Amino acid sequence: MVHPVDLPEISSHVASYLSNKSLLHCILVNRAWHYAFLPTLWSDVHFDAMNQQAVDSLARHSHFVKSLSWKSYGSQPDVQILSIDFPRLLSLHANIDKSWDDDMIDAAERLFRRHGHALQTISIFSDESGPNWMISSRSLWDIAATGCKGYSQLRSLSLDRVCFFVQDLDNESKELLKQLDSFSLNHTVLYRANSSDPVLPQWGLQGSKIRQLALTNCEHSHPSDHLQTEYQLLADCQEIQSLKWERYLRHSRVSMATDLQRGFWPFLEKLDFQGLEIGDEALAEILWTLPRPLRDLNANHTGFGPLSYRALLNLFESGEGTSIARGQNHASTLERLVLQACRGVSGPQIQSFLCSMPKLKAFSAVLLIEADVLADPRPWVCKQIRNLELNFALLALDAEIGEGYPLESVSRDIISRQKSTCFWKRLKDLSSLEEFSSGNSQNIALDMNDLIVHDNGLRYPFLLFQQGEDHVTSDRNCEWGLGTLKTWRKMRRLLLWDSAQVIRLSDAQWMVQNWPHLEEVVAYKWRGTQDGVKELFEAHGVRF
Amino acid sequence: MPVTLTSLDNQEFKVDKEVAERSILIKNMIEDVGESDAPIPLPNVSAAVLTKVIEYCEHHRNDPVQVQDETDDPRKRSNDIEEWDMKFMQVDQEMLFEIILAANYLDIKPLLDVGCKTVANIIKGKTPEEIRKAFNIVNDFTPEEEAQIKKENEWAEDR
Repeated sequence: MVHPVDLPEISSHVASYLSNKSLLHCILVNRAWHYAFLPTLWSDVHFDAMNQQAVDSLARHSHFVKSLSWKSYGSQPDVQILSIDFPRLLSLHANIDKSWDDDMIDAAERLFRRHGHALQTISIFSDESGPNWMISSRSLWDIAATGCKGYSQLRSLSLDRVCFFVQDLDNESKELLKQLDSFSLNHTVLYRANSSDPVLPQWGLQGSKIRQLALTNCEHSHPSDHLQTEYQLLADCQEIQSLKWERYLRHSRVSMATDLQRGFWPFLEKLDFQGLEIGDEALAEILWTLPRPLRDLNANHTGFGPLSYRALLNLFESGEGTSIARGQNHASTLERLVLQACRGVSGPQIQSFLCSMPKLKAFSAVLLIEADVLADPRPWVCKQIRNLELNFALLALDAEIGEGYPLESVSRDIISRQKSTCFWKRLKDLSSLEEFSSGNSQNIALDMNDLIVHDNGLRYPFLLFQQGEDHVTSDRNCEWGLGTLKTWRKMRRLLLWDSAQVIRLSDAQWMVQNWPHLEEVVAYKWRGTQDGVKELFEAHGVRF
Repeated sequence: MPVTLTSLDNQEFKVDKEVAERSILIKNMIEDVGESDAPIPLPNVSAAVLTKVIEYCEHHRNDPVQVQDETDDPRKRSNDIEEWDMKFMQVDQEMLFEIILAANYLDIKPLLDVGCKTVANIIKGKTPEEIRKAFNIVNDFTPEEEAQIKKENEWAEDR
């Protein structure tokens, strides 16, 4: 019988589902497997720690390499890598955390001359630590552009800490940029050499095909250029579908909403304003004026609040924003919504999102309280959701029930359990879930502190992330618990940030039995974790 | 209109055209030959395997044409197998391989995907020795060769 692995089209198909680590294990199985899986392993190479051995190995396997990603180890190995021939190279990611010296620039120039015509993706991370950073990173861009010029393969360009002189772009470079699909500038200096020149440098990219644009932390030789230089690029890129911008509305000289109303950016459907000082009103204005329903909104650390909420759900209220005639039905199309660390986002809003966005695949926000769920008893419609990051809490019973309530603490537990079932019932329906994160995570602690402290009236039911009823004396247990979540067949990563979360050995056993794809569980080790839990997870290939 | 398929061991299977045309190979054959009552010979597929393949095509007869899922992940996902497909693939290894080969020959892309994902899921998280055990493979490397391969590919270890 023919073994499927003997057929190259099948072994490469199987290999496409495997991580490099699994592929490494495959090539060690026997000779046949070695030859079957080696090409895939070496087609996508990531070198984080370079040494002579790795460079030699890379040179020997260079004919397999389609995508090369490496972190600089020093000028000498870098020059060696840049000198290797990669006949199939399509994608180059260089992370040079030191300054480029002359030897490296020369080697890079030769590499781009050899391979520039075939490259589809270039991403370069440089560093401004060296004395010649500005000169070397600028020439780096020049040689990359020169190497790729005249050919139309380059689709994705990402420059991080690379100098970029807007006014010096020649026509060929402009053509190169215009036919990109994805253009990303981070910590890039958009330089204007002559400060006395009153005219801002022009990008000259009108009619560009760029569909994904990211401008983050860009610097300018003259701070007054910031906004307009970047906005001009935006205005040139009318075809964008996806925008990530970190500058908007620090000044008020440009208005995306006004231009959107004029018909700008007709294909825009993904927005990332993470970390912007954009206020609720400005964000709402943009949401109301968008040309089409959004698929993706990242508003982390923004002023997203009641106005944006209404705009996102197209809840028009008379007497408000009367100049706006239309809104899009974003709820029906949104696949990803990220609202961490937004002070204006409330529990009822979160509940409303989960009840009205059927296509949601990823959702992230801070806190949902059982009262919000009980007040709005619609079911969660986001059944396709894969990634959920949300904290849950119960209103403290004392506060709610009031003084003089006669029940002892055990009875309170029962009420608390009954109430928390409103979460469990809804969570159990999310059977596509692959990653679940809950509890007070570090990165949102900032805003959590004044919201949730255990003493001020809120309790997490997700300390109940356990099965069974044998801990009923604690009001943090729940009869539903894990047992309900058998439906989470696709669960891969479970992240429980609360330090009081207990994982018992029986819980861990339950998880590995019921969640066949589990890869990682994160929880506090130092408290409440039974002996043997870590070993059990590891024996089943689950990181803990 | 039903179509007749003949397996390697000369068994005849009558199936709806719509079901048979889940196989791009058969679809093309029907288009080339035109409407005809003549049975279509499938000399690479045994009756046992063809029964399984037809079962799959019957179940998926109304599926829309596959669209490539847009993901940021360069590596494809293997944990998104439907419940029914997962059960369907719970067969012994020889049958699993036969199904993959048949799907490849008959050009039934979704079945080939599911088969390859199933194999990938068996491989995942296993050491080389465990893989050998799972697929009944004999190690033909010398310890020196093994050490050399490990050294050459060290970079892949933490990915």
